[in-house]
Amino acid sequence: MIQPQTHLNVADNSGARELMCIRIIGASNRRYAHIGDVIVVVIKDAVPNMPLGRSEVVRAVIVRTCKELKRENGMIIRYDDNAAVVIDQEGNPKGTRVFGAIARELRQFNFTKIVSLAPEVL
Amino acid sequence: MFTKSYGSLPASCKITKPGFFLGSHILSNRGITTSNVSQNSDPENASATPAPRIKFKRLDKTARHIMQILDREAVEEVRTQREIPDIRPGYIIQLRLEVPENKRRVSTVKGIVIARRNAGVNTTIRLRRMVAGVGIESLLPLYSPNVKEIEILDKKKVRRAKLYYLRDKMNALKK
Repeated sequence: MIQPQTHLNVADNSGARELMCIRIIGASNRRYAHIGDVIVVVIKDAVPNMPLGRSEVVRAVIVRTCKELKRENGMIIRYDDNAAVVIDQEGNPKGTRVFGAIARELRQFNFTKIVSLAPEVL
Repeated sequence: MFTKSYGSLPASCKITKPGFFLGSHILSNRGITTSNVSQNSDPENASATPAPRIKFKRLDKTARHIMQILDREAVEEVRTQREIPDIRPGYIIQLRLEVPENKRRVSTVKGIVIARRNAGVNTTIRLRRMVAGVGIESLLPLYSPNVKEIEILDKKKVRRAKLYYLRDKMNALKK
């Protein structure tokens, strides 16, 4: 349940360290974003000497939330933090590596590249 | 009247008056020596040891807790198919889950049980584990057909039924 002003960790090596959500892509006046949703973020903290710098507005896809993700077989997954992967307009990740476990649902949202880079798919 | 009742009493029954002890001792021996004697005496002592009767509730009383009965039957059915050990919070468990999308088995979901919620067939357990540097909690139905095998690795001593305090203790990303 990510909403504007939410700080997120970054799960890839694109250069950003912390992001802040400013808008949720989808319908207008959409309140919360979950795993698999694209959001517009501003970079609050960045690793020095990388292509992405501080206070840049980019897009990101949410990969981990503290709010539970429900599946049809009755299983529920809950991460310990909120995290996102920085992407470009087409949906390809800007970084080359992804960290942390990624939920299988991202494959259905057509983020296959992120799922293939993931060290572990839950 | 006295002799009949003593013949059918089990030997472990307490007899208060010492005078009757000798008599019952003899009579119970008589019951044990030949099986015919005990069977013949049974129809006479219908009051002392009746044949076991299956009790039926009135049908409308059964209907009131029919869901409980159905739930119990469903749990029994799953238990006869698979062996599901007793799982309590504080156990470290290794599960073998089947993932229908991959058509393969994803083995070794290994974690500590931090909660168990009993709800008949929908009994769920919460597992906490660290995956790739991130803490993950999964809530799994215990009697799900996707759960193929459960193995208990270790048992930790805990003094709680729900171990939610572990979220602060075992959190790698906490600053």
